[in-house]
Amino acid sequence: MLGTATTTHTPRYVLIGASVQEAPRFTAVFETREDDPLVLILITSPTNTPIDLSELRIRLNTLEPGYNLAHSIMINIRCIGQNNYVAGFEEANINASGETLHDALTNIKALMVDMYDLLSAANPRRLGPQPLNQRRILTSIIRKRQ
Amino acid sequence: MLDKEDALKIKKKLKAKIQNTKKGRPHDLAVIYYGDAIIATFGIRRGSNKSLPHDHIPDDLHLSPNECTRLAQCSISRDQWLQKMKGLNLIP
Repeated sequence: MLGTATTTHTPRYVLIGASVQEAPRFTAVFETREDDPLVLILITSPTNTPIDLSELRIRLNTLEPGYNLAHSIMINIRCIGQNNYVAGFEEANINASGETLHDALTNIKALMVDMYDLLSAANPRRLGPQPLNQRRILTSIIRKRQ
Repeated sequence: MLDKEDALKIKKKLKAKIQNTKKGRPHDLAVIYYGDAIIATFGIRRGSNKSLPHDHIPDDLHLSPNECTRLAQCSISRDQWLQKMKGLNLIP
């Protein structure tokens, strides 16, 4: 649970889905694991400097079944109110909301896959600057499994 | 907070088309066209709960949360949003 996280150097397992209000303040980097998408690994900072958990950067290593990431990407998750989180892949300006951290992360994964399917199938001449950039980034990092 | 009702108003205001009709997805994909070119997209969460938060939309549309609320409430028009997108060189 989020509330069990500490500011030691020992990696802890953190179940995302709890409310941020329940969590203490700590420095953290989160990584997703393919073998258990509900569990994120918490690696604490060597500085032990507290941060506000209302904004997190999560290293995303997996998408949905049928789609691979060529390399990990960073997702920002902001808590902007009670039961209200926004996940953002800043590089491509792709964003999704959720009522928990886990919801927001699940939703941005699904949105990235759907945007990849839409934009990779589209005629590039019929894409404005932003969708064209999103297509370039998504096709460079997402691999559809055969 | 922007909710699903606001998202649907913005979709209508910007004349967005729903492109993602796949089953079992957590959202629909609203696609905004300028002529025949796609210029922006945003997700609209599925479900009957009209209060589902949609605070990701301001970033998608390059608006502040306040501007996005005004877009939903009609005090910002589609043309005004297009002008803003042109100013950001986001329209071909």
